[in-house]
Amino acid sequence: MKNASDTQLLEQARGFDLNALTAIYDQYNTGLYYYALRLLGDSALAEDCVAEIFRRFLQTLRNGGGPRENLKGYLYRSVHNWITDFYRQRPLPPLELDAEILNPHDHPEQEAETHLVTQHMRATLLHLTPEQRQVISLHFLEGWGLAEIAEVMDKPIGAIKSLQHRALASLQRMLLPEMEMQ
Amino acid sequence: MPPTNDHPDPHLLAMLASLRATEPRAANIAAAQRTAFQLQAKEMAQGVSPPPVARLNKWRAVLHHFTTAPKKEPITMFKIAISLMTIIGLFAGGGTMVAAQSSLPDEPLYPLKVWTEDAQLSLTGTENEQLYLYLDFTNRRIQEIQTLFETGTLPPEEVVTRLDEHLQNAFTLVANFPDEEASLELLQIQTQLQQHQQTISQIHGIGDDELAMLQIRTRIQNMLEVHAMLAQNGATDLTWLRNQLQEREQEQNRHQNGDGYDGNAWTTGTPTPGSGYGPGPFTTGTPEPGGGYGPGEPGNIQNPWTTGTPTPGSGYGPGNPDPPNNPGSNNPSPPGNGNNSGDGNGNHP
Repeated sequence: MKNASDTQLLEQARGFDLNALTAIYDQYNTGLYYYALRLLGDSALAEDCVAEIFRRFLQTLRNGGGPRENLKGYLYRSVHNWITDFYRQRPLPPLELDAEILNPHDHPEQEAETHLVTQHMRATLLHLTPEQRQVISLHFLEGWGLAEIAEVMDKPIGAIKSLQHRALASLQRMLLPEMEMQ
Repeated sequence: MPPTNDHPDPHLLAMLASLRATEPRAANIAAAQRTAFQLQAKEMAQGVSPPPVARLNKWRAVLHHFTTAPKKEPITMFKIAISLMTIIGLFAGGGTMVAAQSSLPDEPLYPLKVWTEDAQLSLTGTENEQLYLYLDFTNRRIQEIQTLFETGTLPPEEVVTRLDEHLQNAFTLVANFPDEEASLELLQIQTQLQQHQQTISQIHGIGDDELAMLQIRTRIQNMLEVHAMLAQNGATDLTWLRNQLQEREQEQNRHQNGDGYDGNAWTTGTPTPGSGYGPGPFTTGTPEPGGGYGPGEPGNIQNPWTTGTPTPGSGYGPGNPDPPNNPGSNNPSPPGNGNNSGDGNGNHP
């Protein structure tokens, strides 16, 4: 996580070295975009989110703040917070799926069905607590190790395991009807 | 089977995996976003100074390691121990410091008082704060001198010297302030100095060495008067004040270099007849007979620097209120008005 090149890049970025700032952007913007897209389900929103995160990052550097190390963790945490704030300002999508929508006879197209399942899964994730959602999304969607997540969330690994356990139990409880159908 | 961390429900994993698959990002939008970021960075880069050299603050990590448990649980006993040590330290050392603040120059704790004042000054960041400290310390010196006089003790030379230094430093600081601010500060200093003059003039101390007490009292009065005039005139003409301070600095440098100068108008030594120190018009030249400074004509009973015991009408103090521009009066001539010459008797032509 605390890779030497990140630390060097950050040092240069503090002086607003354009090459260093561009290198940081190139290294992380794609990953951040897909992370945001998976949770937001809207490419335009995901682009907005990433643009805003990097704008805030520049602003923070200019004010003498920002991360001293673990740049990756800082940026992913920023995206997570942005998304949490975004959903705070609007009602969460309902959990219940329309039975007709899930009926394969009425909607035979596999693509459409997958899309609906994805939407439902995303809505379910949003009903988790922000910390549970962060653990689940980073571990199962982004493929991070628990130790890495513990570092980003500034928690002991035991707390991360506990968060994950509770999150999985909640997900299963919320998704039980659909899982039984399968 | 309830899901566990090691064996999550496979259906649940499958549903989660559905979120992984996403549509590819639009290349043109990604490129536009990148360009926008670079433009923002370039815009913000203007006016950003290069990063400072990294501070050697790895000790923080070490301290953090010792003060926190691996799971960020604070070590309660460590904090209690630190608190106890701080409290004990405050009671042991702090009490002495507090006691020293009310000590007089002839008491053993006085050097500690002086030391704490110097420490305060060195720790003070802004010039305004330093100025207020110098003025506060000036008050302290005056109170000390007053107490000493009233108990019949001759104030030590160091106290008078320190008083002079506080005033000189205060003026040096004010001279560097912006004009408007400097004028306001000077007026306040003038008021403060007039109060000090009043305090010193009202002292009725009786000691064994009346002559020495009178000399030192006169010297302090003169010192306060000189600075009060500096403040008064400086408030209306800052250029003049700055020139005066510059001249004073040059004279002091010459004096320190031992190039034969004597009669420094800013000397902190005990004034003697002909020394040139006193309420004169700030000339830096050597006084001459009839020049209006110093002893004037030999044998003149109105000599303000006579070492004799003062008697009514002897020429000490404010002198005759009638003659204009009396060097001993509280109404000094404005600088550069050409009325600085006199006959040595306190009277001007």
